[in-house]
Amino acid sequence: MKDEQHISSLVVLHCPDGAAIVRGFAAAHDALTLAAEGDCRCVLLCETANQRAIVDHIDALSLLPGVINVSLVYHHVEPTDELDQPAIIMASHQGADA
Amino acid sequence: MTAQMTRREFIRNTAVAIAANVAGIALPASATNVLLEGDLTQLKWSKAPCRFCGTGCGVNVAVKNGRVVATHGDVHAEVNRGLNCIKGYFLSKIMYGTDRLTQPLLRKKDGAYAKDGEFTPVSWDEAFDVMAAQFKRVLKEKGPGSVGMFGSGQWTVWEGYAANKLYKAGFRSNNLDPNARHCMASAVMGFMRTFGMDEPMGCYDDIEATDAFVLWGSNMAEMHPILWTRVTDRRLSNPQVKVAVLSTFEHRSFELADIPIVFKPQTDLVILNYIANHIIKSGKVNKDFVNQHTSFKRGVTDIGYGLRPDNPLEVNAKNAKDPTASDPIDFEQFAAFVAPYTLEKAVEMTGVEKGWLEQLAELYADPKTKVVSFWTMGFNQHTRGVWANNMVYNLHLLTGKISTPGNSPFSLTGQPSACGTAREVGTFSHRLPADMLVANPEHRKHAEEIWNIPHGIIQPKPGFHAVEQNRKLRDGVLNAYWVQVNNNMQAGANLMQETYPGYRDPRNFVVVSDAYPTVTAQAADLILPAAMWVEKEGAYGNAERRTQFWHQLVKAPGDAKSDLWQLMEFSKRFTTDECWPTDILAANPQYKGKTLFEVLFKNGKVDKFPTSQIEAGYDNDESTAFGFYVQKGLFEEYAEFGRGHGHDLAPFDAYHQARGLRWPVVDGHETRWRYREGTDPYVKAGTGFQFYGNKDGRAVIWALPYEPPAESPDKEFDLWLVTGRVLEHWHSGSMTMRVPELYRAFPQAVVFMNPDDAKARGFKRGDEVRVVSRRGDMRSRIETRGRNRMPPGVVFVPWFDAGQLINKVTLDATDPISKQTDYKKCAVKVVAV
Repeated sequence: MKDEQHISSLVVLHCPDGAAIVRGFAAAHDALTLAAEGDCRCVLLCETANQRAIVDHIDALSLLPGVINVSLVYHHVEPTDELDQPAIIMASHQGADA
Repeated sequence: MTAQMTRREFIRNTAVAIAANVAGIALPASATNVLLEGDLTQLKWSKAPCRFCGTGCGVNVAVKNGRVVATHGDVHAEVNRGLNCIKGYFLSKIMYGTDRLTQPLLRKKDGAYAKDGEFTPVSWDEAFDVMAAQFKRVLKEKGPGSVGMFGSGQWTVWEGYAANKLYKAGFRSNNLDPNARHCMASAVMGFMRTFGMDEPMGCYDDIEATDAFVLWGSNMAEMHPILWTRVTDRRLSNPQVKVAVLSTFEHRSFELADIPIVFKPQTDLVILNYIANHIIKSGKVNKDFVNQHTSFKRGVTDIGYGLRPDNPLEVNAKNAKDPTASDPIDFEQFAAFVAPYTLEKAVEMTGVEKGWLEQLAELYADPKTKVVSFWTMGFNQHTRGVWANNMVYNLHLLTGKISTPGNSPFSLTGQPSACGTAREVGTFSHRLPADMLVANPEHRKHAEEIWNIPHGIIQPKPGFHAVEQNRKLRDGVLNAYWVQVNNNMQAGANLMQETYPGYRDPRNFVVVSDAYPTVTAQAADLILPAAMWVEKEGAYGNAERRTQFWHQLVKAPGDAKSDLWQLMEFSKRFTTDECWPTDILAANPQYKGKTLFEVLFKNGKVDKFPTSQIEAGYDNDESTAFGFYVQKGLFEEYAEFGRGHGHDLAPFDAYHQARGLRWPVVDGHETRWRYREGTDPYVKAGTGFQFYGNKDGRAVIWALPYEPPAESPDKEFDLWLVTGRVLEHWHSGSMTMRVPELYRAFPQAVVFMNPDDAKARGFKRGDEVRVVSRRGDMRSRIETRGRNRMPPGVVFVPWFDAGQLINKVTLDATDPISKQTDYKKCAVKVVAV
């Protein structure tokens, strides 16, 4: 498998009492970072080595009690070694940027 | 962006900023300093509507080196505002399945076509030669009534329009029907009977304006996830908003339900009449609205189940021959009609707790509560589906909760252009564009004038509808048959008895155009490889009357061609002398000896726009092939049907700029709420509301009863079977099963069963079982957990899995008015393998 990184962001809508559950789930999974929280919604940053893992996280989040809906908003993939270059070289990257 | 930032940090910030923007969460300014698109990534981004459901989400599509490499929700699209569901996210992969069809395949033996031959690659010329010879043989021997076509709500607008012309004008056959018959026909007839005009009066903007959502047989959480996000957002941000979810089993949408209702199959009709009765008895009728804007009718009852005419259920039904008949009544008679539907009776028949029914009824009755009713297949795939549609309109009309922001009875659609193509273009066997009917002589005359063909060409008798097409294939009546963009072998009910035998009958020649080798394609005699989605220029119309365009962004693989090209190119092989009656040609000699292509497509209208009008930077393979801007010519001719008649479409080019426009589009303005003064240009000043689809300007409130389903569980077949979809897969899975991530998320269909039912039969979760009905059986595995929680006595099986064909088991009972199949109710038993 190629050494690549997938960086994606998810919007999670949840019941008022679902916030703590989502927070706990994010804390328990290295790939997930709770990036922003709003009223009955939050943004999770998801960093994985492959695309399947994103779907697995979406599935698992969808099944949490109190979670109403999970939407994938942004997805980016590119070779891991390019990711740690300064952002200024952006013009050369080959990844799918969505 | 700072010089020290790594690409990883930059991309992380971008991902978070965009998601926060979509979710409406404010971030510190420092975190929003990002670039929104692949600015320097050599990607070309263009807009398109999603290829899947009827929601009509806007997506941005990235092309690199002639290949679609990414898609994301379009933040400028009003429908989805940057969000995408899991299917939409994987759109970029649907065109690149490894088994994509790239050349025509004909069954051949000893170098020639043979019904029992093997699929052999052939050229387009050979494919069309054989196909044309078969169609000509049938036309000559048996006439136009023996050729037919099964189309789709996934056709682009112009593909449906071209097919309509080729069949109804070219071949003079009304045996053209879309697979939308399976999903939308009851909604269509419901609209026509109540309003005299098809499609919703409201729009998605109602979601943010309402106080209550009622889901009648709709699992929006899985089937319309983006609209569900908007519903969820409204509910969670406004604690006073209520959500009622009604179904025959508990599904994901119940998680948001304030009023959860699981009712016994078919008793939704009882609930609807109970609510009408409650509104009347509690004095909550909006009398001014009812007096000024409605009329009342009582429909005939005992109308049968749309089975074959010799079925005892049809023979014994009093009004099976004329199920649409009705008598005018008044308000008092209507009130007396629904009076027996008391709360007590509703509790007894539905099995629903009294409190939930009362709360539901009050949502409609309370004049201060704005209500949106949503429904899909639970209502439409119902042997009394048209009635159910009429009866939910009753509730909105009795209370005047209609055509105003937040008050909306709203029929959702399953296919991306069920509205735009199947309904508006009129590809049903009884219809012409803009709600016109083949049976109406004025409508036929009008269509013939727009199409510039002689009077008398369009046949007055409706053709075979979807289910009837299968029956007529099996009976050897329909012999030359073309299927485009659908998988009816998998989708059609009762496939072993009614579908498969007709396809493989030696009297019949069956052609299937598809992008992938579906089970339907494999049952055909000729397979034509189809271009899909952004491999062609297209137009779809979504559930809220929004017409959306896209450009061709990539080339189709190999020799695959769009359905539009196939229809038009095939028409070149027929002359009017082979298809039209000699007396009409004698009276109109200028048409004699012309090809169907010349009279239908090179008619001075469709070929009016040169290819130079195609937007720079985009391919258009059909226009290049035919030498004129095909899509524009077809669209502008088609638009003549609706302009000035309440179906106005904007000029062609406007749609390539806008993120869709909701018709009627008058003087450049779209219409969000129809039938109401001030928001609909067709409503006359001073009237307030005008339901102008009906001549008297009034909407009809229908007195209709509960009647039992065609088949109910008994001692031997002791369970209700409900079929439907799951989130990850769309319909028969032709596209989604080819996306590894989606396949893996839900690889095989299962039988969702109540744990006590499973235990009583000695089954554990995961056990292999047979689902058996009077018509056939299929193997599957027991699932007692997960997303669907079944009540005792009801099982659910999704139908996306070609390896587990649940339609071997289902019953081909239909609504007698709409001819739409009831896939939600039949009797089965589940036994060990």
